Amino acid sequence: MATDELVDAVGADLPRAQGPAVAEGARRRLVLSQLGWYVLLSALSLLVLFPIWMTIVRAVSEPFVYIQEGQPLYPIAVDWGVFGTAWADGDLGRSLLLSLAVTAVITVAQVVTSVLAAYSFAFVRFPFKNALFVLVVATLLLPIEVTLVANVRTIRELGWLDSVQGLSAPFLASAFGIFLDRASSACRASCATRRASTGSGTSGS
Amino acid sequence: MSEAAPRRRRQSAAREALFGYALLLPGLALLAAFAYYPLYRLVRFALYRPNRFGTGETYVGLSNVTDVLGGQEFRDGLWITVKYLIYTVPTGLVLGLLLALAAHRKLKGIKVFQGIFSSTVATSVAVASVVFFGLVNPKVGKFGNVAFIDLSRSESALRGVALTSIWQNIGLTFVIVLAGLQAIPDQLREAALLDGFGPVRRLFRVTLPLLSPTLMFLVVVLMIFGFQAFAPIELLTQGGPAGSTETLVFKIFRRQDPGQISEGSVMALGLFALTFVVTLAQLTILNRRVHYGD
Repeated sequence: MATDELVDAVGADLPRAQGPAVAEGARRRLVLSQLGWYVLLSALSLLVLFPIWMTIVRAVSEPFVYIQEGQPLYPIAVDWGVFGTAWADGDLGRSLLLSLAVTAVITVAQVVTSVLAAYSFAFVRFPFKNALFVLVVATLLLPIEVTLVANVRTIRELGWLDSVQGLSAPFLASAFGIFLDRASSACRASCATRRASTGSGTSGS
Repeated sequence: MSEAAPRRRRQSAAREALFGYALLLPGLALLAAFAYYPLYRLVRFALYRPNRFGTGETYVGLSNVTDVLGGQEFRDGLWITVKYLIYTVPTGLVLGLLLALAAHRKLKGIKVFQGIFSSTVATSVAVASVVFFGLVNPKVGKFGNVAFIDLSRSESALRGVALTSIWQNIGLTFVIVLAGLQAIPDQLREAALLDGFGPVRRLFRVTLPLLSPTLMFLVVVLMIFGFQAFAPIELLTQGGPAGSTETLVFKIFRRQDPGQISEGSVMALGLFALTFVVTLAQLTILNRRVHYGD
C-alpha cells in the first residue's frame, strides 16, 4: 500500500519509478497542497495580526468620526500627525534611549548568568544540584508585583532610584533563562550525535 | 590500580563541584538580592504586623497565616486564578501548537509567516493590554458588547481579560514549539512514512510524543504566567466588576499599605507555596512520563 501517499508526501524528492503520468499527477497535487498551505498560513497571519492592525486603525483615525462611523476595520479621517504628537508629548525619544540602555544591560547580563548557571546544572557534577535547581526555578514563581515593593526599597537604599542600573538590577539574573538554557543543553547533549549524522533541517511534520 | 587512585578521584570530584558552584555564583547572588530577600520580607510581614505609622511591629504569628489562608478573600482569589488558568493554558498551548505545525514545512517565504506568528513575543504585557483595551473595552471597544467577553458583566469579564494573555502568549508558545519540531530528526519522520503512517497517525504517534518535553515545559511556563497575571487586569477591569477579576496577584498588589501588608504577605506566600507545589508536581510526574527521545 501507500506508494501514492508516499509520492504525495515526499513529493519531488522521490525517484519516479511509477512513470511520467503518476509523477505528473503527484506534482500537480504537490502544487495544490502548497497553495492550500499558503492560503491557510495567510489566514492565520491575518488573525494573529488583527489586534495590532486594529490598534493602528484606531491610532490614525480621528476618534470622534471613527466612533460615529461604527468603528470600521479600516482607518477613516486619517491624521498621521498623531505619531509626531505622541513622540513629543510622551518624550518618547528619551524613553526609547532609556529602554535601549536597560535592555542592553539586562540582555547581556542575563545571557552571561544564565549560560554559566545552565552549563553548571547540565554538565557539572556537584552535591545538592537538584536542591539548588529547585531553589532557582522557585524564583520563577515569585510574581514581579510581589517582589516589587521590597526591590524598590533595596534600589532606593543603594541610591539607584531613577537610573539605568536601578531599573535593570532586579532583572540581571533570570530563572527563566537558566531553566530554558539547561533544558536545551541537556537535549543537545543527547541529540548532538544523532543530528550530526543526519544534518538538521526543517520538514513537514 | 594504585592506592592513590580513589583519593585522586575524590579530589577531582571536589574540584568539579567547586567549579559548578563558581558558575552558579553570579546568578545566585543576584537572585538572593532581588528574589530571596523579598521572599524573606514576605515571611517577616506575615508573622509581624507593622503598626499604622510603620514605626514598630507586633507579632501576630501563625494564627495570622491560617486566618488569611482559610479566609474568604483568599479562596475567592484562588478560584478566580484557577479559572484564569483554565481559560489561558489549554487554549494557548493548542493555538501555539497548531501555528507551529502549520508553519513547520518547506515552503518559499515560510520565514515571513514564522516571523508573523512569533511577533506577539515582541509585545510586552502592557502593550498587549493596551491593544486589547481598544478591542474589548465596553465603552469604546470594537467588540465591547460581545457577550462572551463582555468586561462589564461579572460572568464574562475574566474571559475578556484572558483573551489578552492568550494572544500575547501565542508568540512564545509558537517559537518554542517550532524549535521543538525542528529538533525532531528527519529520519524518524521518514521511518514513519515508510511504515505507512498517515499524517494523523504520524502526528499522534511520532511528533507529539517526541515533542512532549517541549509541551511539558510550556504547560509549566503558561501556568506560571497565568498564576501571575496582573497587568491586563489592572488595565482592563481593575479587578471589577464586583471583584470578579480579582486574581490572587491582584489582591496581593492592592494590599501594600502598612494596615494590610501583613494580609497581603500571607496571600503572597500562599500563592507562592501553591505555585511551587503545582510546578514541582508537574515537573516530577511529567518528567517521568514524557519521552526524551533517547
